[in-house]
Amino acid sequence: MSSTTLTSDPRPGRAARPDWQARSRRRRLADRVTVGTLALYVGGLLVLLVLVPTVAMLFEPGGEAWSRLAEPRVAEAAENTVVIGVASTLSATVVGFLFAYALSRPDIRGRGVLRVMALLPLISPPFVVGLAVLLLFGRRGLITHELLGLDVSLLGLGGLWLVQTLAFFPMATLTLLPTLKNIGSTLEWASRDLGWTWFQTFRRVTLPLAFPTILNALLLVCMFVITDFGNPVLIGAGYQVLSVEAYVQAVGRQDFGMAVVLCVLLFVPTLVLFLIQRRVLARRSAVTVSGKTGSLPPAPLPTAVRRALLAVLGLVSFLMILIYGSILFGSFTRAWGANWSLTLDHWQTALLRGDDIRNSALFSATAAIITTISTLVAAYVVHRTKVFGRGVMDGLAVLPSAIPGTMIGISWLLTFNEPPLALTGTALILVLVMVVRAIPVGYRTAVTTINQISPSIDEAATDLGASRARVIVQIMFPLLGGAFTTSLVFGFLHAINTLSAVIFLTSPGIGLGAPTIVNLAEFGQWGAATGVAAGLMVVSFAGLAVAKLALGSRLRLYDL
Amino acid sequence: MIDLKSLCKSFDGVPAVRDLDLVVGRGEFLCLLGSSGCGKSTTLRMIAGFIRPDSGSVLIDGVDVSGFGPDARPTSMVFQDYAIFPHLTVAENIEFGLKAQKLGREERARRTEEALDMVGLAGLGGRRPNELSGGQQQRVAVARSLAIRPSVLLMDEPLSNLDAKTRIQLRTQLREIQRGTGTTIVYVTHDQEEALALGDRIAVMRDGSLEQLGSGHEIYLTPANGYVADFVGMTNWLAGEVAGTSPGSWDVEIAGAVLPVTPAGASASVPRGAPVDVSVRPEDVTLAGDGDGSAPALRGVVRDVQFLGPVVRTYVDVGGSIVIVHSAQSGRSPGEAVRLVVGRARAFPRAEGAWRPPSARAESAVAVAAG
Repeated sequence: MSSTTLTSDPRPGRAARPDWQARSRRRRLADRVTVGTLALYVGGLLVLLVLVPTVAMLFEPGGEAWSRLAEPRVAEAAENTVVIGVASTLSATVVGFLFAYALSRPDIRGRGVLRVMALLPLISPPFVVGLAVLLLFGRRGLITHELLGLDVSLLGLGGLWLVQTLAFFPMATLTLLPTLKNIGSTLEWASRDLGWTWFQTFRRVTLPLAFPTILNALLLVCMFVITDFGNPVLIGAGYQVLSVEAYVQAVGRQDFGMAVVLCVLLFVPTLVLFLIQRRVLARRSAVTVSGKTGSLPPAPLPTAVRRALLAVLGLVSFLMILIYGSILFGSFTRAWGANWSLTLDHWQTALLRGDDIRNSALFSATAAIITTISTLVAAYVVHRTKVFGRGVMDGLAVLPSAIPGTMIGISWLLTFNEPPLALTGTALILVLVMVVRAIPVGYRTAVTTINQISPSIDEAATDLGASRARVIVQIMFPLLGGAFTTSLVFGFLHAINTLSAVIFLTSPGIGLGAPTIVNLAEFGQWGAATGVAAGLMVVSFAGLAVAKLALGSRLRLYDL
Repeated sequence: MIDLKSLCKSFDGVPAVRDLDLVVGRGEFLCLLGSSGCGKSTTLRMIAGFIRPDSGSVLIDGVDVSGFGPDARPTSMVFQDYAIFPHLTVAENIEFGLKAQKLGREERARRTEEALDMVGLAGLGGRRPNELSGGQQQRVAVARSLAIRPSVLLMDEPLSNLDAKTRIQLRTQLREIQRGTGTTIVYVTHDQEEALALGDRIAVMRDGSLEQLGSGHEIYLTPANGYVADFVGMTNWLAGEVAGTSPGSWDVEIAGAVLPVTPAGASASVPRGAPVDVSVRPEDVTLAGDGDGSAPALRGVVRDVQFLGPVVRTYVDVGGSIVIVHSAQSGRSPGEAVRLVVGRARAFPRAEGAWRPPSARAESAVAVAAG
C-alpha cells in the first residue's frame, strides 16, 4: 500500500500523512471489532456459566423453604461442618507447613519422597483418600477388621478428620513453600548471629514472616474442607455435613428448595473466606519478604529437630503409601474383606468396558482446551484492554472457586433443565461444568503469564503499526505458548478429579469416573470402585506424563 | 585477636579455602579482597560460624571457637542484602540481639539509642524497614551489629548493593565508627578501591589462598606478584626480555627500547634474554613529543583521548597493543606520534603455572611487534 503512495505522489513526506491517518482510522475500527468480539465471548461465557445458574438458583426456594433453616437437621449439619472445618483446616495446615518447611531445607534428606507424597493428592481425586480409609479402617477394613480383629471403624468425625487432613495438606504446602523458600537464609543466619538459638529464630523470625501466608493457607484449606463432598459422603457415616445434606435433599428426596437453602448456607461462609483471602493476598503483596536469598545456604536444623520432623513426615508418608497402595491393591482383589484372591477383573471392567473413564478423559480434555483458551482471552481482555465491565469479568472468573461444587451442581441442574437452556443429560453440560470448575485456576495462571509480558512489548508492536489482532496472533500467542500447555494440564486435572458438581449432572447414558467411584463404593462394590479409581488415576498420570515429555522442565505445574 | 590456623574448606570436592593462615590485630580494619569465588566470603563465614571448616581452627581472643555456633561467638555479621527483619521496626531490629543477651529494658533502650546515634539515624527507631532507603537499611544493620558490642564486626560486601554516592559516604562513616569504637572489623569486598579506602591492611586472595597481605600502599606500590599488580588498580602489561641485571634494577627490552625496571619480589637472578611481564601504572607514564628529550622511551601513536575530569586518559598504540596513560592534561590528539617515558615499572619473571596477564597470554603483541 505504501509503495503505491510513493509512486503516485512525488512528495511522499506530505502525501503519506493523510494515508497514515486513514489507515490509523481503519485500524482503530478493526481493533474495536477484535476487542469487542473477544469481550463479548468472555462476558457471555462467564455470565451464562457462572452468573445465570447462581442467580436462577436463588429464586427456586419459596419462603417456606427458607423458614426451614431453623430445623434441627440443618443446624446439626451446619454445626458438623463448622467442627470438621476447624479441625481439618488446622491439622491440614500444620501438616502442610511441616511438609513445606522440610521441603525448603536442603539438609533434609528424602525430599524427593516428601515431594511425591505432597503431589499425589493434588493430581488424584481428593476422595480417593476417603475411599482408601474406608478400605483400611472401615467396618470390614483391612487393618481394623482383618488384622486387628476389632469391631470398630474410623468412620464418622475421626475418620473424616484424618482423611481431610491427608487429602488437603498439600494445598497448604503448595501455598507455604514459596514463602518459606523466600524468607531468605540470611535473615535466619542474622538471628543466629545475634545470639538466638534455632527455636528462638524459628519463633521470632520464621513464623512471623510466614504468618500472612499461613493465614492465606488456612483460608484456602478451609474453603476446600467445608465444601468437600466426596470424603464426607464416603466415610462421614452418620456425621452429616452441609454439602452431603444438600445432596441428600436434592437427589434423595427431590426437595430442591431445601437443597438450595443448604447450598446458600454453605456458600455464604465460603464466599466470606474467599473475600478475606483476596484481602490477605492483596495486602501481602505490599509487604513482601526480602526476595534476595543470597548465596548463603540455609542454617542447618538441630539434629533433634530434624529427626522429629522426619519422624512426623515419615508417619504421614507411610499413611499416604498405605492409602494409595490399598487403592492399587484393592483394584486387584476379588472381593475386599471376603475374598482376598487376586484378579484382573476390576481392571477389565474399568478399562475395557469403562465408558465412564473414557468419558472422563475425553470430557476433561475438551474442558481443559475450552478453559485454557477462554481464560487466556479473559486475562487479555481484563488486563490489556479498556473494555467496559472488566471488573465484573474479573470477579466472575474467580468467583467459581468460592462456590461449593455441590451448589454448582444443584444450580446447574435447576437452570439447565428446561428450555431455553435444556442441557441436562447431554455431554455438553458435563464439559461445561468442568470448564466452570477449572476456570478460576486457569484464569489465575493466565493473568500471571499475561502480566509477565511487559506492556511495552505490545505497545511497541502497535507503535510499529500492528493491529490488535496481529498483536494477539503474532506477539501474544507465541509468548503464551508455555503457559498454554501448563494451563491445559491444570485444567485437565481439575476437570477429571471434580466430583461434587458433576455427580448431579451425569445421566444413565453418560457417566463419569468420579461419580461412578462414589456410587460403587456406596453399594459396597469396593473392587469395582478401586478399579475405576485406579484407572482414573492412571489417566491423570498419563496426561501429566505426556505433558512432561512434551515440555520437559518448562512444565511448571506444582512448584514443590 | 582473630587467629586463623591452616583453615581448609571444600564444597563438593572443590576447594574454596586452602590452608589459610591469617592474624588480625585488635582494633584493626582488615579487608579481604579478591574476585568472586576466591574464598573471601567462605573465610568470613567460617569466622562467623556459619560454615564449619574441614580442618584448621578459628581463634578469637585466644579462644578456639571452631566448635561453636554463630550464636555463641563474639562476632556479628553485616550482610550484603542487609538482612533487616522486615516484620520489625528499626528499634526492634536493633533490640533483637540485645534481647538475646537478656539485657534489661532500660539498658536495651539506651544501647539502641546509642547505636542509632552512632550511624546517624537518631529518631528513626519507629520506622519500618520498607520505609528506609538501602543506605539507611544498611546503617540499621550496622547499628544492630554494633549494639551487641561484638569483639569482631564481620562485613560481607555491605556496600555493594548501594549506589555510588551512598557507598562513598558510608565508607567514611564506617571509618569514623571504627575509630570511635575501636571495633575489629573484617571486611570482604571485591572492589579494590573500597579495600584501599577502608583497610588498615588488605589481604588479597585468589583460589582460596592468600596472595599478599599488607597495607594499601604496599599492595599498590610493591605488589608481590603479577596477579596482585593486575587486580589492584589499573596497570599496563608490557612483554619484554631481560637485557641486563644489576642489584635492584634490571634492564628490560620492550618494543625495541631498553628500560630500567624494578624486579618484583624475590626474583633475584634471571638469565639474560629471559622473558618477563612488565607492569606499568597509567600514572607512571609521561607523554612526550616525538622529537623531545633523549631518555629511553617507547614510541607510539595516540589513538584516543578521554577527558575524565581529574585526569585525562590517553590510549597510545605501541606496536599494536594499547598503553593507557593518565595525566593532568593531555594536549595530544588522535593520530599524533608520541614517546612514552616510563617512570616506575615492575618486572615479573614468568614461571611455570604462575599467573600471567590476560593480554600477554593471548599474544605478546608488543614483543612481536618489536621483532
